Amino acid sequence: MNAIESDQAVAKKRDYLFDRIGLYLLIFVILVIVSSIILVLPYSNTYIGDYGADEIYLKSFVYLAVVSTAVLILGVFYNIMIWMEGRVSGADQTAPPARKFFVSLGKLMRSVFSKDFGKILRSFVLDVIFLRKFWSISKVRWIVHGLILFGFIGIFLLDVITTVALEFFDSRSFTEPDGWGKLWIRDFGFDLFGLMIMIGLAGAIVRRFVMRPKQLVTGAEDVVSVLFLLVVVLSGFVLEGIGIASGIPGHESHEMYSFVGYLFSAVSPAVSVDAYAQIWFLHAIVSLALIMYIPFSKLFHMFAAPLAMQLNDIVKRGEIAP
Amino acid sequence: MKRDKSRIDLSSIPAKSLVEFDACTRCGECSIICPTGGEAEQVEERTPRGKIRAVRKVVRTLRNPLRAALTSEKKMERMLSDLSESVYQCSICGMCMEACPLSLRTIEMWESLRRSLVDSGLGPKEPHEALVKSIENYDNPWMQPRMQRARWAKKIKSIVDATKEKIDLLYYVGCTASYDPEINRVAQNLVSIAEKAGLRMGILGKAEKCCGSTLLRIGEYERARKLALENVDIFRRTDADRIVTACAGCYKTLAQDYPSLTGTRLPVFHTTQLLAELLSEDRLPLKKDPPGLAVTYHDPCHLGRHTQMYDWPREIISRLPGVTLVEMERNRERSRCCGAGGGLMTLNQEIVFRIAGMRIEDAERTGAQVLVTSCPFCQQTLVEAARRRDNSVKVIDITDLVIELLE
Repeated sequence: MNAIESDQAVAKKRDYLFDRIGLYLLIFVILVIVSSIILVLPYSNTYIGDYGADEIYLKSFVYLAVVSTAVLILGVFYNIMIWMEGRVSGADQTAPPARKFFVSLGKLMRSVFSKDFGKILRSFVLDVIFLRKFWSISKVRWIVHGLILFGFIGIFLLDVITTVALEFFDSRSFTEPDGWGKLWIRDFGFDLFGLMIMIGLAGAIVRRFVMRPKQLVTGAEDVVSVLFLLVVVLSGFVLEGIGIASGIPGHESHEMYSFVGYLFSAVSPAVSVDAYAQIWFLHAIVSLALIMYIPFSKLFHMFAAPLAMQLNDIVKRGEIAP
Repeated sequence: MKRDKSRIDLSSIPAKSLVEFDACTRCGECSIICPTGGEAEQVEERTPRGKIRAVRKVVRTLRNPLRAALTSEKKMERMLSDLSESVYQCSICGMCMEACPLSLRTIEMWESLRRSLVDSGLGPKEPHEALVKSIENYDNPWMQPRMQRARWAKKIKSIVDATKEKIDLLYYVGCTASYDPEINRVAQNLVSIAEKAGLRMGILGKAEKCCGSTLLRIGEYERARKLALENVDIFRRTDADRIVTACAGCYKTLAQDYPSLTGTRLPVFHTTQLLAELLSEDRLPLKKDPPGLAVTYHDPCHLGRHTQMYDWPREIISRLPGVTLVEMERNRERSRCCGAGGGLMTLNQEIVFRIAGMRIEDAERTGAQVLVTSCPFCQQTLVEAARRRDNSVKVIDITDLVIELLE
């Protein structure tokens, strides 16, 4: 009996070790892949890349970007490990979070890529992306939230497109002043989505700080989250305005495309390339800080809420979660 | 075993619920409509949002080595004790789930959180201990002897012992209808209705035990599980292929909780389902031209938001001659709780009757003479709340209404 127990204990320890190693390996691989992409890109066509500004800003940005994405990834895993302290069906409840994580991941994958894939996709579009219940509660608030949400999704997608076009394909359409990519994506697209975020944030600020409905309680976390987003977007437009006003290479464009940037340029001073690079660096720092802040703030709902809604869709209402 | 009151064990909370705690956007939809922390008290810490925030704070403090090191054990104990206080000041009505734009399954969140507090030695609250002891010693939360459980049925000849005789239907009476002399009538009504419909109905008599609902709602999961296993064992001793109960709490527990507690899915029905079925099959002789009566219907939380049974009671009312249903402004999914569930009646009667009073006001505004419900515990609470408001409306069970209109 003792020998059996001791064999089980050894097996448990071994599983524990393997799960831990598996988890650490997974995090390490993700970190290496993301960091490699950030470090390997040539950044030959960024606004401050080859235009005479001190390279220290670009280099610093690249290293800080590695740090901030690492903090984001580790922060997300930190939260996942807390979730995994909970009950997971199909897993030994005394198992370490790392084991439960792999069990959950397997179950989630099997649930998503099953015969119900169509249903899950439909609910993802309607409940998670479109937020239909929120729409039925308040259309105005849905629009305010939607402007921020879709604004950020839009900017993220345009960033990916621009990075791929510039760094992998060296697309001239994205660099030439009259190129399609330059005019419609780098100038118009970013301005449009940035403006959406600004309007959405303005709505959120007015509601929270001016209208102050009874249901809202404003704590430090709420103020910091809203201000963080505002500073990131506003500093982006200030930077664009200064870039246009100063004739920074890459910012030459038509006002009808960079329509928000041109408005900001009207009240922006003309600065040297080096001063522009410093402002660019400040905008970059604030943006990277926001990325690091996400997993430790209420903004983490951007990951947890879609997941929770999707999990709830898999477990029917009225049924007890496994 | 002495528990460390500055720690919390999360292993009884489903991982999905822990994700939901992080998914909350603090929008406050739940906070304004929550019957306890919102409408009755307006204390943020006791609203769903306040509780979610407190859970996140406690967990993030305990699981962050730096924050944990900077927080004294005493402070940690206080944070956990405050959390426990807020979590139990809730009737688990599920209104927050309905209000939430993300439809977070808050019922499961609160119930599993309570279980986690019990596992960590931080729950239930002191007044609940009498309930737990009563259920352990007497198999009911009312501190009544087992021998008295079937006293209400003594003079009824048509009721049989389900463990000894062949029956069509097993009636699981539940503790409130068994022991409360005011609510006994519900049980007697059901027997009469079954008799008129030609159904042979049996009960378990003194062998019946509490379903364990009270234990589950206050987080005493293991005790409830033991009771549930015993009940399933007793049910198996009968040859009934259907179990019916008139209690919304018992129904939720037997239908929704027993499968995960015992691994057994029972063929359980609520009286509203049975009555709707009997009426739709014309198996009940109804009066021909009774005087008109305007009634309003209160959806018990356990039958409504917990188990989504909104249509059966309304179908019954619509089939009764001369009866008109006037809905309260808040009905079905948005029905206001009576306040008594989730162990709150034992913990904070003042708040319960404040909430129940609001529900009576809702009913008064409809102009209906009668407030119908289908849960003995709601009935008990609403009767008392109506009494405190000079009996402005008459509160009855749905079986009372049906009996009244039978020939």
